[in-house]
Order: sequence, then C-alpha cells, then structure tokens
Amino acid sequence: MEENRENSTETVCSEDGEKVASEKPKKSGLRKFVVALVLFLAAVGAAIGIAAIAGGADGIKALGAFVSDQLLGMKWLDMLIGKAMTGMLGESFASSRWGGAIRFFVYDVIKIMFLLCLLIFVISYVQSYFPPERTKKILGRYKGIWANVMGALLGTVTPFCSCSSIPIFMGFTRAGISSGVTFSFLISSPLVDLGAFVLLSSVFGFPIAIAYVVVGLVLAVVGGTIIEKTGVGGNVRDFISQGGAVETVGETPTKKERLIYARDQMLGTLKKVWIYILVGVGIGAAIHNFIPQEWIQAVLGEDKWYGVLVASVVGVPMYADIFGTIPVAEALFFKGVGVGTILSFMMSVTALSLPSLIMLSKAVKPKLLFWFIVIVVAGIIAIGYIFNAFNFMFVREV
Amino acid sequence: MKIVTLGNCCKKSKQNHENAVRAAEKCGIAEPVENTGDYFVIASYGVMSTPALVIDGKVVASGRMLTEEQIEKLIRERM
Repeated sequence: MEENRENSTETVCSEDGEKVASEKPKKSGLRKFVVALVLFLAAVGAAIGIAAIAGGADGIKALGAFVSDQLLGMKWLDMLIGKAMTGMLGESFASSRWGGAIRFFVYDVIKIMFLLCLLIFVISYVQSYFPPERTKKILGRYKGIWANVMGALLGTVTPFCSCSSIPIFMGFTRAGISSGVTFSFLISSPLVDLGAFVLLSSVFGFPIAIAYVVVGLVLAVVGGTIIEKTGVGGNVRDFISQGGAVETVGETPTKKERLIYARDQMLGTLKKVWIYILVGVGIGAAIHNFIPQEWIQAVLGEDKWYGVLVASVVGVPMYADIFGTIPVAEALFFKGVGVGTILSFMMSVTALSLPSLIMLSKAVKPKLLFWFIVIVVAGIIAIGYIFNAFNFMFVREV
Repeated sequence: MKIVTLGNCCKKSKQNHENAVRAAEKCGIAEPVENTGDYFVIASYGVMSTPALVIDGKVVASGRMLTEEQIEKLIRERM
C-alpha cells in the first residue's frame, strides 16, 4: 500500500518525455482538475451575484449561512447518515449514545477528510508563490510595525516544515530582518492558515472563523513586537547571526510544476495527518456522547474563572495538527463551552508543540525560548478571556 | 562535476539525495554525490528550505524534491 502510493507520486513527478505512456493520463487529469476549479469559482461568483439581486443584503446573508452550514459544514451529510442509520439499524439505536457517537464519527471523518484534500491542494498552490526565499526578500522592504504585520501575514502562506525553521531563522537574521519580525512569522505560521479558516467556518460559522484569524494575526504582531522591544530577541545563538547575507536563489516554477507540487503536498499531508484526524474525531465523538455536560461545564464552563487557564495549559504539551484539534473543539462547543475557552485550547495545541520548540531551542538561547513560550501562552489566555466576555456575539443556534 | 544535495532531516530530502545519486550514475559522473544537513552549509548557499540541489556551487533547485529524470536533465544541461 505504502509502496504503491510512493510509486504513483513519483510517476506524477516525472517531467521527462521518456515516459510517454504515463504522460497522457497525467496531463488530462491535471487539466480536468483545473477546469473543475475554474467552474467552481465561476459558480461561487454567480451564486453571490444571484443572491445579491434576489434578496439584497439579506440574500447574501442567507447565502453565507447556507455556505457555512450546508456546503462547508455539510449538515446534509449529517442528516443523511442519521437517516441511513435509522433505516438500517432502527430508531432506538440511532438515537442511543452509541448511535450518536458513530454518527458524529462518520460525519466528521468524511467532512474533514474531504475539506482537507480540497484545502491542502488550494493552499499548496498558493504557497508555491511564497517560498521562504521570496518571503525574505519581501520582508526586507518593510520597516517597523508594518514589517511585523507582513511577517505575520506571510507566515500564513509560506510553507515550511520544522526542519527548515533553522535555515529560515538564519536566512532572516542574516538578511537584517529583526528578531521581532522573525517571531511574528514563526508565531503566525502554525497558528493561522487558510485551512484553519475554512474548517472553522464549517464548524462554527464565519464570525468565529474570522475572529480566530484576526486574533491569531494580532497575537503574532504583538508577540513579535514585545520580543523585539524588550530586547530578549537578541538572545539568538551565535551561529545564527555569524556570516554575511547570501543572495538567495529564486526559481519560478511553471504552472504545471505548481499543480504537481500541490498534488504531492495534498497526498503527503493526508498520509501524515490522517491518524491525528481519526484520533481527534474519536475523542470528539466520545466527548459528544459519553461525557456528561456537567463534568465539562464544571471544568471549562464559562462561569468558572479557571476554564480558559485549564484549556490553554492542557493544550501546550499536546501536539496535533489543526485538523485533529477541530473535532475536539467542535464537541466541546456543542457541550456549551465558551468560544474563548475553545479558541484558547485550539491555539495552544497548534501554536506550541514539542518538536517545534526543540528545533527552536537549537537556534535561540534558553532565555528567549522561555519568553517566547510565556508571551505566546499569556496571549492565548488573554484571547480566551476576551472572547468569553464577548461570547454573546458569537453564540448561534446549533 | 560536483553535485551536493542539501537537507537530510525528512523523507523528502533523503529521497532527493537518492534520486541525485542515481541520476549522476546514469550520466556517468565519477565524483560521488555529497549530502549535508549542516545548517551552516545550507545557509551559506542561501537556501532556506530543503531539499535543495547544488551543481558546481550553484543552487539549481530548493524547497522541492526532484525526480531522477529532472536531476538528469539538469546535469546534462550543464555537461
């Protein structure tokens, strides 16, 4: 199985004309995908236009709810699974705890896997325009707070795995990019991306998704600025800043190469995170159907002052992809846990992880690492309390 | 012709190196293909994302894995 997949990816990669046999189906497959994508975008545009003509502002609002509930949220799938279970296994089982848990599990796994594939493909395509080398060049043009803002924004679109974080750190520092901007980039990178935005819209609706992205970016900008202004940002290991700036090489891939890259990224990511998703959805299903609401309310309830603290601190050592975290958050949301508490939990799971901290500790001195963790955790906790205070703005019928 | 592959921390980088070794063999290059994961070396080439491929001191690809055929083509262009 494993072997097979490797091979298929490799044939896809091959650029050479020698493999004429595999060339043809590959090309038409890619072209089909592009056509589908263009048609999809055209349909989205047409739908918004029709809604605006038919119902004005209300029409667009109704369309928004339809998109987040039915298209992204796939509520119809949930209904379908429920109906199928009632039909096959009887009403009493479908409404039992196990029935509910299985329904949640099947629905969430299908939904997240589908969105994941679609999203990673689109995101990777966009990311292929922002390799770290280019990001470095762009960042070099900005000064002051705008550099931090750009750092945070580019962090959301620049692809890198944890093994690239040291070369990126070195490249940024040697190019004269300040520590604050580098940290704005490093904070926003795992925290905010298009995938998180779409998944959050699908589960919680657009207001919470937009709020998540905005506060994530603010945290990155503020965190980076604090690190720089307090001077702790200077505590990088000597080898990072030694040596002069090197002109980086940029290459411009063709459209075909970008599409191939996006497809490989999609397959690679899916292979890497599917287990996190299954575990995440499993935990979510268990919370959803087996853990009494009172227990959760007792620990994470909005009226408990320590709810956000518990959620943030518990999340730090946990290492999961945003895709594995969302089902857990979803289940907590249905149990009436405050939006702020949930955001804190998700942010602390994704922003700080052991592997990335270990890599970072090779590049910075303990003092900076310590303050980096303190600032990020404090920011996440503050976000939780602020959101819980404004909870009423986000609560919607579920 | 001196060929160096950069990065050895993830599967992609390792695959990239293997592909380079095979491509060099095909092109009849006697010099062994080197591999390094040393951050100094990587940074000194101006590369910020691995895997990357260097031919005769010039970075020809970075941030993506190349296939054996792609590398072969790059080598032949420079022979």
